Amino acid sequence: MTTDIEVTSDGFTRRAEGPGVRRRVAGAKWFLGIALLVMLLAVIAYAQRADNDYTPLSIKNYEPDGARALAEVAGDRGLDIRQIDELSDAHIFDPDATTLVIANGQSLQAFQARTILDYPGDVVIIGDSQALFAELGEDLWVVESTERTLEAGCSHVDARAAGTVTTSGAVIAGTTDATARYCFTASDNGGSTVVFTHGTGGGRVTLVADPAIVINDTIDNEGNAALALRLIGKHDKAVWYLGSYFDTTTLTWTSADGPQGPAHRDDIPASTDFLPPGTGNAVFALVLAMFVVALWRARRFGPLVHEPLPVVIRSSESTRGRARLYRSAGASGRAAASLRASAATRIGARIGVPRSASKAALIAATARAAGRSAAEVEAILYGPAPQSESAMMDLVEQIDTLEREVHRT
Amino acid sequence: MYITGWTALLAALGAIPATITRSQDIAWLWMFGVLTLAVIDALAAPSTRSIGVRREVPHAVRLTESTTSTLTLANTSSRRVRGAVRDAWPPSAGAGPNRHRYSLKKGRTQVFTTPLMPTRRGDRKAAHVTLRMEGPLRLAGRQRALPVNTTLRVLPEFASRKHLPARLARLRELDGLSPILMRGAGSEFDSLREYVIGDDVRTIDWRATGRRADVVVRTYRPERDRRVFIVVDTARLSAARVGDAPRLESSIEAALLLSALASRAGDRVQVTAFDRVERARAQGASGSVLMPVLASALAPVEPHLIETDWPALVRLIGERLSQRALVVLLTTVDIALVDSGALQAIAALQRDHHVVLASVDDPDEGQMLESRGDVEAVYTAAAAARGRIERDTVIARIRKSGADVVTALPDDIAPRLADTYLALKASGRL
Repeated sequence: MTTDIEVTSDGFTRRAEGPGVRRRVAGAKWFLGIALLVMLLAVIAYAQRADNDYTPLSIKNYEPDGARALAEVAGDRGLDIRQIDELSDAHIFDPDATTLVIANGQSLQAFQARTILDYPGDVVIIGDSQALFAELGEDLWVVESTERTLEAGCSHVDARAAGTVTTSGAVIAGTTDATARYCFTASDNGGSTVVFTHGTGGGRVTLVADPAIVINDTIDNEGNAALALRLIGKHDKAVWYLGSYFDTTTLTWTSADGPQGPAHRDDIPASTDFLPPGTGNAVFALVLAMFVVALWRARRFGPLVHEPLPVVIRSSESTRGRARLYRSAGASGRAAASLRASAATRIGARIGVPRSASKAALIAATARAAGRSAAEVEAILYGPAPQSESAMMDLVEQIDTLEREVHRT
Repeated sequence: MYITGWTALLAALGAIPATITRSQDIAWLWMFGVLTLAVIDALAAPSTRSIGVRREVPHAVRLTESTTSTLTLANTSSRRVRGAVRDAWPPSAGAGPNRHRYSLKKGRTQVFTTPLMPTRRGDRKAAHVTLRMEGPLRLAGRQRALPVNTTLRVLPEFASRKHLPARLARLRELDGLSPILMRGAGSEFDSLREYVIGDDVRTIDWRATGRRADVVVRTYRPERDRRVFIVVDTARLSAARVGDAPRLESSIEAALLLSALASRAGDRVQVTAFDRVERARAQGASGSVLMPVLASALAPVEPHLIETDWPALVRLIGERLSQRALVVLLTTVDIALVDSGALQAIAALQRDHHVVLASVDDPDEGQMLESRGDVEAVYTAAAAARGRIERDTVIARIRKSGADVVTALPDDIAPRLADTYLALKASGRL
């Protein structure tokens, strides 16, 4: 780095002549090759991506949790099946000849559920949906059963044709209106996998508790395929609705009497929580922009600067280290000796006894100053070393008291 | 290469087409489009060769005082160049806003200043000057860090200079220049004058009185032209912190105050910073030149984590001094002095010179001595007491050889040492 720097005679530093970025890039053929390869891979990945999606229950998804197999087979048999992400995209012109499939209705809200149940044609509801179940009956909910293979056990023609289905255990508990028929009933908790009932608009509504009946992974088990095909293929057309939290629209259709809106239009609350259409895409674009922001902020304006730092050890650390050594060794005798010696020095300085004076002279002078007996002072300052830490603490107390008495005079 | 905030903003604007078309693909396309545009803009930016950089700082600045780093940019290309420049300094140089935007027409120069407020003594070596050259769209540009060698010398603060006027007044009293005390102290004979009431009768010169009709007294003044040799110990004990700064900082303050005082008193001052080898040296200067020379010499001195070589120090002092002098050792009184040969060295120096040993006390120690409460606190007090007893023993052994020992808290060591010097001068022991 330093080799390509030159300093001019008037003290200016600048980068010396050398191959620029453009020439270096042009010189590196392998770099261009790798760039082309990356672009090619990106294009291939994009093309692959357009054909598939990874949303569970999507009819374009060929993963184990998709419903592509069902849609392909039904399509081959002449069913016109179409997937929508928003209820308003349904564009149904003949409800009598169109089956509406609600796959993944978890995100539906009550006002959307009401428009779906008002639909006069056939409706198939796959999986759990609190909003739809709440509109159909107060005590409908999905529970877990231990049985995996279930017999039809009812007289409904579609159920009898399927005979036996396999599930992952989800069944519907509770009852709805009197005309409802409960099929594939589990013996352990009485819940049913499929419930045939009627909507508020008079259409036939079929509840399928378990998506395992339609997904790629398990559709070929037992009578799953038969049941699924019979449910969605009753008419020439089917609209496959894949719920999403960004969808706040309601279902509309055109019947012989003209366009039909939701019957409960006035029930739709005007809430500011409603996200306008395209919000999801806007959020996605902003997330991508965050990567650009990261690139912008991550580029440092020049290298980091070094700072040689001075020592930060405090001078008192060595004293504290010595204190810890005393403590770990339980050196109460030695500690007391130090404290006694330093107290004796201070007392001596206070009452004017020179350092060179004898022990007896210091004891006598201290006893006079403190108003105590010489024996007492000798025991405190020159007594036997304490044998325990508690004895040391007591001794320190006595030394401090003696020192205070001397200093008071 | 770098990208600007405009690129990020442009990328964020991709939310609008993505919302209108409700397509994630458009969002991807938009982002890649913006990035491609940024790359093209960076390739179109001027080369980092087109700008020359010159950085200038004053030779030295005193700690706690502020200065500026001046950066001159010259456009040597044949087109207009826009961008930003960063004048990088280490944190202890205390640089203020150091990023500047520039816009230079062909052949023009532009000057930028970065305020500096150093927080630590020593040589502060400047870091790179980083240039950013903006592309025509301002979306991206080129970046280059140029190593421009610049060093700012930060001199010791010399906070103890506030003690100087009082000590100089005391020095004038000693000199007999002050009108308050007519008779100067000291031991060097100055002049004869008539006796006035209040003079010490012991100073009457009977021989001169006999020759004249009046009673005549001798006046004395302190000796002049004495040598003062100050040694700043930079070995491991000088690195430990007392209060907020290493011990060395207090030693340097004390050395500066003593030098200022001694040079005014007419003595010749030499200073050396020493551990195993000489780290800095100031000698031969006097008068107004002395203090700048001294401050500059001591500025880059740092503590070294090694033991002082005392015999080598004795040899060094022997080479430098040919006559009796005052040798001031700014070191640390510690039990380690006993093993390191310091006591023998001090005794050897004391034979030819007068030695004063100055040491900075730890302000934490007093607090630790009085700590009580639990067993740990008492052990701490015992350790502090033991340390003090050991130090007192060492001090007593040094004093036995005739040397003086001055110990004080970090802020007091400089004035205390100066007072010791004045006391020595007054008593004529120099």
